[in-house]
Amino acid sequence: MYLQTIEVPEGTVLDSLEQISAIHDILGDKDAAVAAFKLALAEVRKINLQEKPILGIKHYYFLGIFSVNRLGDPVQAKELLETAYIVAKRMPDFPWHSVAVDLSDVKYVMKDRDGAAAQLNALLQETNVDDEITIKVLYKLARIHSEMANKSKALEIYERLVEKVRTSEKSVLPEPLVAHRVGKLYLLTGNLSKASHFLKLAQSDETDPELKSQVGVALTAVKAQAGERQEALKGVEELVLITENSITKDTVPIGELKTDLGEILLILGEYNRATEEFQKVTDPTVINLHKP
Amino acid sequence: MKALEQAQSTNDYASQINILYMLGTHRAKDGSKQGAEEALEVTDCWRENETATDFDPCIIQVYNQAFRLAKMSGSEMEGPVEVEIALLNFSLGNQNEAMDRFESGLRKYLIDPQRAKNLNPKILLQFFLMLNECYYNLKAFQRGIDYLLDYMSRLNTVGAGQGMFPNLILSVGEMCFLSAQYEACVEHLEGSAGIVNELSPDMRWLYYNYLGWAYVRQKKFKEALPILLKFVEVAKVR
Repeated sequence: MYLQTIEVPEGTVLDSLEQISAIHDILGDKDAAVAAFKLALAEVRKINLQEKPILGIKHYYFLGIFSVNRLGDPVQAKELLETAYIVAKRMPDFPWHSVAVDLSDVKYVMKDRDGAAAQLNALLQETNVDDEITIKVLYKLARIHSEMANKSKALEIYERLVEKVRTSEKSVLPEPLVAHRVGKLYLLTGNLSKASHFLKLAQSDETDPELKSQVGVALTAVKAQAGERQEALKGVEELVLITENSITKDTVPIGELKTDLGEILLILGEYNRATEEFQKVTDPTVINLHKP
Repeated sequence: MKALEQAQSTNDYASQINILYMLGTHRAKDGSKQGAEEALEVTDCWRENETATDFDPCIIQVYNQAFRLAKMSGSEMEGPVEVEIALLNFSLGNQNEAMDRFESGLRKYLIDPQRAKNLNPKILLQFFLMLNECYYNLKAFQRGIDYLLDYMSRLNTVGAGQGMFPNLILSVGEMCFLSAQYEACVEHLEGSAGIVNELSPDMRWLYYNYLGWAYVRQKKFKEALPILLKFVEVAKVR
């Protein structure tokens, strides 16, 4: 209860402007969302970051994430997140690591892969980084190196990631998923023994049919490339069975599976069967050719 | 002191209560040395070299004595004396005791409808301000909501204190919000048509703030939007 004039606490108007912008966005009124966002932006700049750093971080961070995720404006997001990051980093004991990860995400969205990688690498140099953050950082960094065709660096980081996921109590990423990625990357580089090692690690997940089929395809491809013809053909038959069972169940993306099978059959010199599999990719009776 | 002795000798409870009440109030409110000493003497609390803070339990004894007499004699002073006990407990940080005493004392203000109509809403609201602080500090939100709603219903029955309704409803809405009863918050704030206009302009932003965010918490964004816009408008022009 209040009997006298009480001041509107700092940040209350900003909270509402942010919410108004979000509601306009939810209701599909982009222009109004941007207009409210601009008002919020003007309001956030009034915060004295020396005196109210926590309030500043909260709102610069929120508006940064909002502008990239909702308004599709990574340039604005970068500027806001950078401010949040700088203020957060100079505060003792403040959990600034996640702000740094988000800032690297924005740089990545802006195609600034070097900037994103530098941000992530700096985090890896820090001590006392939470396992959850470290796993995210390694994953994102490996992906960036992989996209930059820096496969050996990507593999090095992926291996660190697999180890981290395996030993960490926090399961941010399932180990089989990461192992599958590493295995596939080794397959692409032609290191078949390493590929086989990691793909077998990925086989431990029995719960995800899509991953199971993808791991099956990759392992069959390893066998085909290693010249283990009989083993590879056996793998192909099992995968064909999976695709037939999955056609009406929508458990695995049949189109991708058939394409992969076709490629394996090509390696094995089974050209006619490979053609058949490729043709099935465009079969109109197969409803779940590609998962959304 | 002679007046008290005289009143005691003639079993004049009303005078005794008034004298004790005044003695206690004099000490509690003004910090007057003479008033304090007299009050302490009455309750045999006097000790040499006492600090001012140490007097307070003695003042409570003065009020308790007045309260007992008021209760025994059915005096209309029972409510005001109990509220004084609540105030003293509040200032001593005994929030639970203060909450009980405020609730009980304030209800007694309304026993006599005629007297209730003569109450000064501003003074009553000051008591409610402290009572609400007890609810907030003790996180006794549901108890606060129930009490305030019950009190408003009693005010309605005696036809008094209507001017306090906007503040009391705002408090109910606030406590509903703080206890995550967002639907009830909206119900009370929206249900009391026009209260926002009866609130002082400086407090309207609170009404819109709680109402708007109660809608947001319920994901009723269409309803929230105009209220939040109104909040920004009101808050920014202050």
